[in-house]
Amino acid sequence: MIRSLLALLLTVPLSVLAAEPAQFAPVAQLLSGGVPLEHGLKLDLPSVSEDGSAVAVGIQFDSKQLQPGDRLASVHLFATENPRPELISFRLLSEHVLADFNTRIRLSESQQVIAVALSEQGHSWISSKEVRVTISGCLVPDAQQETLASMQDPRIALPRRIKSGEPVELRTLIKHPMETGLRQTADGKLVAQNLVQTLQLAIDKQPALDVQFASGTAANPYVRLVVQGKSKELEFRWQDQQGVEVIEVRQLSL
Amino acid sequence: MKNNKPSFSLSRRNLLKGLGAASLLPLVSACSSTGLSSSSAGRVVIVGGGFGGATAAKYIKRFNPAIDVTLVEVNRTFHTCPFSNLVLAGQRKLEDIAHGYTELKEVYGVKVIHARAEDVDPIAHTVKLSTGTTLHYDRLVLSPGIDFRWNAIEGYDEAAAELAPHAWKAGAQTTLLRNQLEAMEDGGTFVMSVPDNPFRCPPGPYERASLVASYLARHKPKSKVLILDAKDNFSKQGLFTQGWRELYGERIEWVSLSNDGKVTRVDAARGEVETEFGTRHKAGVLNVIPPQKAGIIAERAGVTNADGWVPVKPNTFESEQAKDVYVIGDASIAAPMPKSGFSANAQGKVVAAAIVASLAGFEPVNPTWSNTCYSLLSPDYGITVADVYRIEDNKLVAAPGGGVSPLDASPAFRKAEADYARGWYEAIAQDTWGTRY
Ligand SMILES: Cc1cc2nc3c(=O)[nH]c(=O)nc-3n(C[C@H](O)[C@H](O)[C@H](O)COP(=O)(O)OP(=O)(O)OC[C@H]3O[C@@H](n4cnc5c(N)ncnc54)[C@H](O)[C@@H]3O)c2cc1C
Repeated sequence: MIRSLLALLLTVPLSVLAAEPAQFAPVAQLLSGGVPLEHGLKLDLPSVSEDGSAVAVGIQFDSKQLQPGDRLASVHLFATENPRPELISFRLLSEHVLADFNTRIRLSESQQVIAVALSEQGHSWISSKEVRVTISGCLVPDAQQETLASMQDPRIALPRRIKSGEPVELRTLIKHPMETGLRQTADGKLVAQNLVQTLQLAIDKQPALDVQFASGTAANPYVRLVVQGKSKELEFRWQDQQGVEVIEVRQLSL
Repeated sequence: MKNNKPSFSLSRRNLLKGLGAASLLPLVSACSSTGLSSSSAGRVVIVGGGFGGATAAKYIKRFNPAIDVTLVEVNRTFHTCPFSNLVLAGQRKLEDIAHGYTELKEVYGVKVIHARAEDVDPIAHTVKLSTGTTLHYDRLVLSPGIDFRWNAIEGYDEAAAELAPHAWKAGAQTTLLRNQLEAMEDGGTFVMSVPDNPFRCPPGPYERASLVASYLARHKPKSKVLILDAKDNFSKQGLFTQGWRELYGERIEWVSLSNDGKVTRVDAARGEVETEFGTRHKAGVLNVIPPQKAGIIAERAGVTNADGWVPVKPNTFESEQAKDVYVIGDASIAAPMPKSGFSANAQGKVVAAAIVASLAGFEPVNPTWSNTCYSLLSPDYGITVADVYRIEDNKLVAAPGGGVSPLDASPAFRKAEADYARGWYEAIAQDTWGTRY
C-alpha cells in the first residue's frame, strides 16, 4: 500500500509538469530565438471540456505592455497534441482592431494550448493552459445531420447601441464543416480537406485584420473581435480552400 | 419493476468494498493517524440532502454506525429534478417526487439540521450555519448541487426567474412553469434556452422538450416547442431526434449554436429572447436554463476553480484544494461522469467508503462507478445510455462496455425502457431517502 502511494506521489507531478511552451517546435519557430514575456497575454479556456469539437477560447493582449512606438502584429494559437498544431492566427493590420478575440477551437484530446503574440519590433509574449478533454458518455451523434460542402449563411452581429469613440464588439460566423482531411467516413474513406482559410476585415477600405483559420479551428468558424468606434464601413471577406469568397459589408452608424 | 436495476449491482459491489474496510473498524478505534479531535469514531458534517448528500449520510452510518453524522439541508422536503419533467407534462404531481428525512433520522441515526450552511473554514474544520450555530467536523462532505450564474445571460437574474422560470431546481419553480404551460393559449410557443456544457443533467433539456411536446400534442395542438441551444451537439442526440420525428413530427424545433441558437439576452417581462446574432423570439412560455456553477457553499469553502466547479481527487472525491473536504454530485468535476442524480448517488457511496476508511486510518479502495442516463421521450418511450467508470493514471475515465439504446427499436422496446426508468426512480428514491412505493 505504501509503495502504491509512493508511486502515486511520483507520477502525479510528472504528469502535471507540462513541457515548456516556448520549446514546442511550431512556437519556437515562430519566436525564432526571441524570449517571450509571460505577462500581458491572457488566454481564457475551460480547464475541462466535455466536447473537444468546439472549445470556446478567449485571447486578450494588454497593450500597456508595448514599448512606445511599437504595436502588436499578430496572435497565434497552437495545440500540442492535435494531429496538426495550428489552431488559428490573427494578423493585426490596423490600429482600429484591438487584440481582443474569441473563437472556437478543436482539441482532439487532453493537452496544452499555447498562445503567442508578436509585436512589430520583435517582442513576444506567451501564455498556455492545460485543457482536459472528456467526451461525455451521453453523447450519441445524430448520424442524419447534414454536412455542408461550401460556405453558407455568413452572420455578423453588431451591438444594439454604438457610442461614439467607444470600442465596438462584433461577432462573426460562417457555416462550414472545416474538414481536416483526417476524418474517415463510416466506410473507411478519407474525407478530403476542405477549410475556410481566411477572414479578412477591411475598415473604411483599408486592410485591418487577417484571420487565418486552420484544421484546429472548429466547424462553422466563429470570431468575436473589437474595433475602434471611429470606424464607419466594415467589409468582411471569407475565402475557402477552393478560392471561393463570401463578402459582407456593414455600416457602423452612430 | 423489481428486477430492473441492472446497474445497482455495480454500486453494490462498491458498497461491499467499503463495507470490507468498515468491518475492520473495531480493531483500530484508537488509531492516532486519523486526526480526530474528540469522539473516537469521528464527526462528519454533510451539506446538502439531495442525491449525493443523503446517500453519503446513510452509507456512512451503514458502514460504521459509531460515526457521528450531521446532515445540513435547507429544505424539509426534497423534490427531485428526475421526473420533474413528468410533473410539467401533467403526468405526475409534485407530491410524487417529494422525499423527506425521516428514515435517515430514525433508522440510521443521522442528525438532520434544516438550516443553510453559510461558511466553511477548512483550516479550523468548522461550518457556520444560518441559525448562528457552528459545527465542527473531522470530515466534511459538500453535495450542494448547482447554483446559477445570474446575469451571465443579460437580463436573466433571480427576479426574471419568477417570470421566466428555469425549473432546473425542482419544487416551486416546477409548479410555476407547469402553471404557465397550462395557461398558455393554444398556438403559443414553448421556448427553452439551453446552456453550453457543463451543466446539470445533459439530456434533461431534451427530455423536457419531449414531455412538453407530449402535453401540447394532447392539449394545445397548435403549439410548438422551440429549443435555442448554446451547443452544436447534445446528449443522445441521434436517439432524441429520431424519437421526435416519430412521436411529434415537426412540433419540436432545435436551433443549434451555429444556427444562432445561443441566447444572449432575455426580456422576461415580455417573454422575449435575443440570440447571439440578433434574432428575436417571442415565447408563449419562456423557460431559461441558465449557465451554472457549483453550489455557492463550495465557493465559500474555497474549493472551486476558475470555472466555478470543484476539482477532486478521483478515487476519493476529496477536494484537491482543501484537506478533509469531500465534494460530490453536480458541484464536483467528475467528467466524463455526467452531472446526474445517478452519479451523485454512486459518488455518495464511494465517498462514504473513503471517509469511513480514512477515519479508521486506512487507504481507500479503488472504486468503480456506473451511471445510467434514462430519458423519457413520452411517458411510454424511454431511452438510455449506460456507462461504467474507473480510475486510470489517477484520472476518472469511462471503461469500455458502455451501452446505449439502439436506433430504430420497436415501440415495445421503448416502452420497456420507460418502465425501467420508473423502476430506476423508485429504486434510487428508496436507496437515497428511504421512500417506499
Ligand atoms: C429536469 C431535470 C431532470 C433530471 N433528470 C435526471 C434523471 O432522470 N436521472 C438522473 O440521474 N439525474 C437527473 N437530473 C440531475 C439530478 O437532478 C442532479 O444531478 C442531482 O440532483 C445532483 O445531486 P446533488 O447531490 O449534487 O445535488 P442536489 O440533488 O440538487 O442536492 C443539493 C441539496 O443541497 C441543498 N443545499 C445547497 N446548498 C446548501 C447550503 N448552503 N446549506 C444547506 N443545504 C444546501 C439543496 O437545498 C439541495 O437539497 C435531472 C435534473 C434536471 C434539472
